[in-house]
Amino acid sequence: MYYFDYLRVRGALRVFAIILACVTLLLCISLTFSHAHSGGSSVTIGSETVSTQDYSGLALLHHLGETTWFPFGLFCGIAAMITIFFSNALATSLARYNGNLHFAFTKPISRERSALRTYAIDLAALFVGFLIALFFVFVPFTVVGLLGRLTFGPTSLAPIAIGLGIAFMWYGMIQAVTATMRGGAGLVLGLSWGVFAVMQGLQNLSTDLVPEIVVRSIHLLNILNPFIYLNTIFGTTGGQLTSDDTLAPHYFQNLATVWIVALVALAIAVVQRKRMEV
Amino acid sequence: MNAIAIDHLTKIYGSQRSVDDLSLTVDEGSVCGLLGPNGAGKSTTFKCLLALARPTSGTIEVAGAPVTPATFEYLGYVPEMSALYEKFTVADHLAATKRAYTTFDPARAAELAATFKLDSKKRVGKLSKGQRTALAIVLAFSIRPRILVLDEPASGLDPMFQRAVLDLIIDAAAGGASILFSSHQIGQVERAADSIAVLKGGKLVLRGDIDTLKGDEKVVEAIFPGDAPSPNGLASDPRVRRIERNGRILRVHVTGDADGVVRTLDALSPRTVDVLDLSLEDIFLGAVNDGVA
Repeated sequence: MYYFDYLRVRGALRVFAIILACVTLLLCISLTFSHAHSGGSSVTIGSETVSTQDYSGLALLHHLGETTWFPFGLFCGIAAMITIFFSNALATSLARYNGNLHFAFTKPISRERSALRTYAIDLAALFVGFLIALFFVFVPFTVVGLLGRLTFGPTSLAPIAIGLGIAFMWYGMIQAVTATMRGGAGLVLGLSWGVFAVMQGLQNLSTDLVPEIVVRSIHLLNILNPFIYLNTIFGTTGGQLTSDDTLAPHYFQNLATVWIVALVALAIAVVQRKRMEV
Repeated sequence: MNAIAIDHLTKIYGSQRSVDDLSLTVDEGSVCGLLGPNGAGKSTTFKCLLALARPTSGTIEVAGAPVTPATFEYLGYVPEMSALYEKFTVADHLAATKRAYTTFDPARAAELAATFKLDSKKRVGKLSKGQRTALAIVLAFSIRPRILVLDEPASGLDPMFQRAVLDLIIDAAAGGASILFSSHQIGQVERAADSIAVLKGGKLVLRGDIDTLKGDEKVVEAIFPGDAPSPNGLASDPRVRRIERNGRILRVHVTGDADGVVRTLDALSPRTVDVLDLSLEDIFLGAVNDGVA
């Protein structure tokens, strides 16, 4: 029932925007009134090192802006990260309405097409969520008049593709696991955070401690771990705040992986829906 | 052509045979009441009919073809339990239905919502059970379906709205719609249906036109001065379906001609002997208690 999906994502986007507005407001207040009181404190961004002693947060940013250029890709990356959080709000969209299947499955639309419509609406919502996040990321930056210090490079938009890919990958895997569940989808979603965090922590496990097969298995399983790909988002700035020229290592490989995992997971969810009995 | 044709349907859940070799047809433009005690397999039959569950064996056709999503363009369904979206309003449901069907009639929907006094701004979660049923009925009838499948459509409604639902069913049938509906309220079935099918333990135990069933089935009731005697020879009479003895009262359920049974009972010197027409409820209870097809 795509109309209900539309209403659902509209509500989710509204809540998302309100939360971001509140956080941004608090950030602006915090930046305005925060001071570094102890002497000798300094901040280094790029090649610029500035003492924070006599500056409020906003004034510090403004001062930095006089000498520093800010890559657009950095902002896209931050917004993409926020969108990954937002993807969690959409990830159980199939399971959420599994109590309504007598209604939804007796409409003149196939189950597969109905699920694909849900995905399309959620993907569109993710993109809109990204734009909302990008807007709020820019607010404090604009307030201090630094908009003119933005730089654009060949890789400025690269964080969007990988960031939304990671968000959609996580969304897809939760859908695949929960598509036929009548309850407990939220629990699966919550547990996924812990599982992914632990698996990421195990990524660097030494073969001195455990057999090599275990390490290899962890590496293999981590292909499905969204956390593993987060570095790729900010790596697109080449680790340099002033650079928009360099892609992260394995960028295209990771980009392809996250989107393929997302699509395969979503296909699995569709197959389960098709076979589901009410 | 049959509007609905169920052929040797069997549905097994685990070790439970919910529907057992059920064959049933509903003619175009007719109303069939599906009756049965709780757990008889009525809802499972509906689920299989609507492709919500896969039959273990057997086939189902609606309007001469297997059920596909396109079938629902002209098939309206009211489920037994509310399947509506609790967080959304009555108006949202109407809007969603309007977008889902090319046959949605907004004027009809508004008229029906007014009939059932539904507040369009109210969330479904805030509606009573009866109001949810009413909304499901409004949505099903507002597409002006050719075929209706109604699982306890008057459940939870007050008598006034139950009457409204019956009128809708009768009106739809008069307009040519084919209807299969279940109800525990025999009076509603008797009023709205042309025929009945009675399920028990997943099996079809009685099927027929209501007038024919009522015409064929009679009860010969004899009241004796003392305890009712045992009527020798009646049990083996092929016309006799059941014999009940209760103190001074002896009731013999007969299919077809009751004259022979009356003569046999008269010979036992009862105080009175009467031949009573059966109500549909008697027929239903007889079928469910006997398990006779």
